[in-house]
Amino acid sequence: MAYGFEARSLRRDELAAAIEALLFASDSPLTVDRMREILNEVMGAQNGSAVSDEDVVAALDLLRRRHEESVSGIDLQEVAGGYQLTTKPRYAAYVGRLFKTKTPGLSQAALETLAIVAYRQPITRAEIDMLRGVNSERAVATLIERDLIREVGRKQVAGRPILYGTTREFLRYFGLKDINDLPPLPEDTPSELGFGATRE
Amino acid sequence: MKASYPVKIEIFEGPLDLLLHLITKQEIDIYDIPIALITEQYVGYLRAMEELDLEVASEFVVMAATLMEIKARMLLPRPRPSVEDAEGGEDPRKEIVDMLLKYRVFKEAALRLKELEGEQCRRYTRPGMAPTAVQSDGQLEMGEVRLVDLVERWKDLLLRRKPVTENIPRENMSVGRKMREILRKISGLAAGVAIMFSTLVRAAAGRREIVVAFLALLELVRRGKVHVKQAGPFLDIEVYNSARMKGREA
Repeated sequence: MAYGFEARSLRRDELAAAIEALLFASDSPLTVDRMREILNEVMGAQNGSAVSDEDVVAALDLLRRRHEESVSGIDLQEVAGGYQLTTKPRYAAYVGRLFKTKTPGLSQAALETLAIVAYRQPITRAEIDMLRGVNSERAVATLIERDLIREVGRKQVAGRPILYGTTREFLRYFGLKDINDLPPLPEDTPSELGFGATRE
Repeated sequence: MKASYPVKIEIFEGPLDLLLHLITKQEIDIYDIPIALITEQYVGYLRAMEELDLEVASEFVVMAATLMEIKARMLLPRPRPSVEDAEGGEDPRKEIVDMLLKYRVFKEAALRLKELEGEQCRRYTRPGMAPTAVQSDGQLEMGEVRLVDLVERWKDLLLRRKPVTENIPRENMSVGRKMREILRKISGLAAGVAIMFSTLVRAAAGRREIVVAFLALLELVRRGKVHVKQAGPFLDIEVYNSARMKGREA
């Protein structure tokens, strides 16, 4: 029926527009859950039929295609377990001019330490030091300060050292959807290889 | 294979970083490191750092010692293979190679993170911004007002408020005058009758007045003019006229 189709697509257009408004105004990525919640608080009550996660995802899909296909400087990015609107990378040169101060990128020491935490979490400072062969106290402090890693517990060994893990900000900072979105670790060669012992 | 090489000082994150650099630069097989050569280059690097007055972190020095130890062990004839150790003993280099391999993995992972950082840096996002004038029916809901809002509002109020000017007369008070006042008040007391310290100061007495009264009282006690009693800490002090008490006791 034409009526049914129109009603549905109208509803999806309306949803997509509402979601776009939400994402535009938000200062951090919004999860599908959160968007569905808000949409139901306002819309669901009027229409009678509740907005589902599928409705939200479909609307996000529509939104993403629109941004990709149209001449738009804005992108819909799936990041840190949610969605956010960002400027398209290719316009970075223009947008960058707006801002005088640039936050410096992470130092080599911080990046190495962060890589170790990201792939080996939860992990203690001592274990990080061991892998890097050098004291990582400063790097760990910097990463905590920038909210990229945090305390996630205590290791149940003598001294109960702090265990570190990555944060949601870590995912956002590197544009990762979730922790499984990390690039695979370069081949972690088994250490037994190549020393007298022939492999069987 | 002894080669002189110009030492270009780069900043290395640690001894493993430096070792890895020496190995990759010369395309050495990581599983078969020419330990004598690498040790020599490694130590050469530390010397160069010292000559440049760069601080050599202790970890670098420890690694130099480890390398020399491995070098020494490599020079020793291998022990005969024992029964448990059928493979002819462990290569002295194994431990360090293990560390290098593990380190290399994360160094490369760090490079990829750096690439991702660079990509994400090219995407700008908005800081959230609520309209400056939010329509309100005057009713506040839980969570609508944050502590910071209250602080801001308080600061506004403080700035808006006109400075209050008022003359506060300085209390003209001296211990001597207070002593005379106390003496006057107790002069008419019968033996065994006390007045309370709290009646020696005005109800609205400031801290200064109370202190002066107390000092005056202490001074009178010292001079033997009054006797004081206090039933317990923080309770009111009873003030007796010493002259009367003496008179009674005498």
